[in-house]
Amino acid sequence: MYKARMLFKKEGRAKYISHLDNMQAIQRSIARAGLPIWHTEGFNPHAYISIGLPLSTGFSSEYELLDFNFLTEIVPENAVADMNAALPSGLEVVDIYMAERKAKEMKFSQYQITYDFDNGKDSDFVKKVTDLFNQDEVVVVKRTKRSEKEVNIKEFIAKLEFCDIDENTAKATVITCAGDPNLSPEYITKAIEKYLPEIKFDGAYYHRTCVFDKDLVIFR
Amino acid sequence: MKVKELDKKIQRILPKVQKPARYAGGEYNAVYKDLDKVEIRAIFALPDTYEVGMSHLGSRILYGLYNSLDYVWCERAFAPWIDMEAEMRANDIPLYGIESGDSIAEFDILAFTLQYELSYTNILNMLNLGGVPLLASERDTLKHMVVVGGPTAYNPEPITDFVDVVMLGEGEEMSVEFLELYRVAKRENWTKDAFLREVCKIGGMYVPKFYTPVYNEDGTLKEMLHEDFAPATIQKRIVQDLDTMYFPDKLIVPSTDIVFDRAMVEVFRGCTRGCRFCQAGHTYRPVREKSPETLLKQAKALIESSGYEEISLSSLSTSDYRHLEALCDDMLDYCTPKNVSLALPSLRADNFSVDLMEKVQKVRKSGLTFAPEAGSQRLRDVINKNIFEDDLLSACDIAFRGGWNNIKLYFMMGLPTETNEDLDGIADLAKKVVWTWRNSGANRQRGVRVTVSTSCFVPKPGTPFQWDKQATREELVEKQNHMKEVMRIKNVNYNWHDAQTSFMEGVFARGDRKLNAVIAKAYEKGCTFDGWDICFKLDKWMESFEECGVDPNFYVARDFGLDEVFPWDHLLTGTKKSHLLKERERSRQAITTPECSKQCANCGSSELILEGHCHV
Repeated sequence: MYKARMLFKKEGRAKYISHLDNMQAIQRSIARAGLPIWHTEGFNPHAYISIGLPLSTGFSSEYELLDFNFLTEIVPENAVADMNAALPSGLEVVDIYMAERKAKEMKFSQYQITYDFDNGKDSDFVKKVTDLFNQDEVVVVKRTKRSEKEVNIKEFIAKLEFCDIDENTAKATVITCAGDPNLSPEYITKAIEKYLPEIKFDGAYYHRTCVFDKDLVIFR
Repeated sequence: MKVKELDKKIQRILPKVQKPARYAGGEYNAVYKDLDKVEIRAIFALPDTYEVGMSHLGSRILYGLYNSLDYVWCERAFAPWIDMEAEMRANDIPLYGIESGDSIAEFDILAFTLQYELSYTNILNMLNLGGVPLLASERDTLKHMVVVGGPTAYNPEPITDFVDVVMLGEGEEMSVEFLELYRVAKRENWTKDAFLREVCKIGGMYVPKFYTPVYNEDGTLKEMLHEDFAPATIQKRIVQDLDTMYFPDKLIVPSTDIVFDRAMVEVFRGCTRGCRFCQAGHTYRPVREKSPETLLKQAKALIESSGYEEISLSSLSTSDYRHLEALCDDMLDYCTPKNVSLALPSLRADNFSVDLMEKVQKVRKSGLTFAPEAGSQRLRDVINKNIFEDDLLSACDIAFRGGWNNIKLYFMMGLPTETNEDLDGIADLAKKVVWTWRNSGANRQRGVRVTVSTSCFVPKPGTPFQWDKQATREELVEKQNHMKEVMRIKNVNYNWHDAQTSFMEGVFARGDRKLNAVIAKAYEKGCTFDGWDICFKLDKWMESFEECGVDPNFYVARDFGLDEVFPWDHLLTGTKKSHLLKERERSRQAITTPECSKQCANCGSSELILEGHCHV
């Protein structure tokens, strides 16, 4: 078997598919597309796939990576097109290639956050939030599987920029730690809600745009 | 066809609810059409959660059938779970078809499937969430035509205020006739009344508003009056030839886990057995099989188009299929190299063989379930189960030798003539199954798990037990307490089903039109998802009965008169009332009736077959 990787988008209706369900949906899509993929052996044989950085349910992404093993040494012809004919709406394969780097080298995710203000936003919104994150410490209660604790989320943010889109919309571009440690971009929103309670969002949408290694080089 | 984004309001609430994929649509093989090119918009509405609704093969067949007509676009709607309903109501979001995202108020036909009596309040809630008037009399145009069908449609009387048309029997042919008529009516702008009068002429179609019940002083039905143009009785529809019948070559593959998440082919319809408690066994007659060639072809198409890793051969009693061995061999030749496993639900203990066992465990080994239904031979004879203790123990012996160590046994409690001795028989059987494992278990180190589940018997219309008193809640609680005592057995887990919901199920199963008001009242009081223990509110239901002046015990806690006219007598399943009565008498003497492949019992359903005799 030969290590392979699939780069795909998860958008539109597919945003709401949970991580585990998404794995199953892709396994079935691979079966429909007829890709020569390695199955686990033994009691309950199934197509082996792995997603290194699971995406939160409800987030969209244009940069999801899924690892699996081909039975063939090279990527079969038309693999991308065959997959795209077999996927549910909102999932779209961009590329399939033989994997060179290890999934655990993924260290950062870049997200775009879109904020809706149905009744128009504070004209100082960008300045206020920029000032907030220019402080040395932005402390938010962070939940892990085992505990809840207050952390300075700035330690997990590599880059954060806000900008206006129009009267009712603003955007944030953020690069946060991914894997271990991990910071969900939702904590940016939580910090704003905590420190700037006068700001009320009517909608917040999270979209992953890229994944980087420890040197902030695009991971493929 | 590009799938349109959901409305922003919907997008905002979905991240807040449990399992949002249930409400997002976009699944593989879901059908999207161009609105400008269709004449009829239909909703297939399943009054339960997505996971339950999507598991129902019949609805998946009819979704495919409706959409095979180029002038129809059929979408789906499910009952939103309580968290989603709260978000929808708080944000002014109507119930929507999950394909288009459009409110169900935009649709011409709202087709509800009736799988279970306790889903009735969900129908009201779904209409209400779509802003569609609940009462048929308040929907005065062709739009929002509420159509129902499915197993509980054989007695739809408790919900006749809310529905316009009831389809009796198999939908494959009559649905198309109905849609064609609707198409003409819509083009020519008929009145609703004119349309419904024409609907009466389609075989199997029941339009309740043209029928008026007249009651005796004691509350029983005296007669069912009908308009001159409406037939006095309605005969359910069947499809003659299952090999040429419509069957989809694609099934929607849900993007989230559902109850039965696998491909399914339907091996045969009907059942030869005649278990006296079983509504499906009496109302789905006569038996008609698909050929192994057809099944193999359909199974291959489904596996290829779905990517499913499991396919089930479904029917009421799959091990009774005459060509099962040959079919399994052909299926396994195809499935095994693809790592697709074969599921055979509904196996009977009396024809479970080593050969069959080896086939079902070829790819993956799952649990094994048998349903003796009653603990003593006497009671099994009363219900005509025709399973002997030796059958069950030898089936378990085969399974244990084959390496299984997980067996589930299903029983019913509260069957007619049942005593505590019969219940003790359940415990005895469970012990004997464990002993069997001690003697023949292939892997003793792994231990054995025998799970015994009891449900509460509910007398159903159209069965030989339709005259019987249902065990009261107090009696069932007593029986359950007895069972909890006697079922303390090593290696045996005991599960039981709640008696309260069975009581309500019994009321609606044999209910009449007086219950319409009760359902409306209970819905006003907040009853929905009554089949779910965490949502079921017995106190609200009892208040509703009280306020409507309806005594629920009238429908369950009495023996019905043998000459009583039933509210469902005008809806014919093919199995004659005289046959059911004869079977009832035999049951009281614990006389069994052989399966109809061995000897015809003259139930009457052979008259539905064009040649006048069954193919068994």
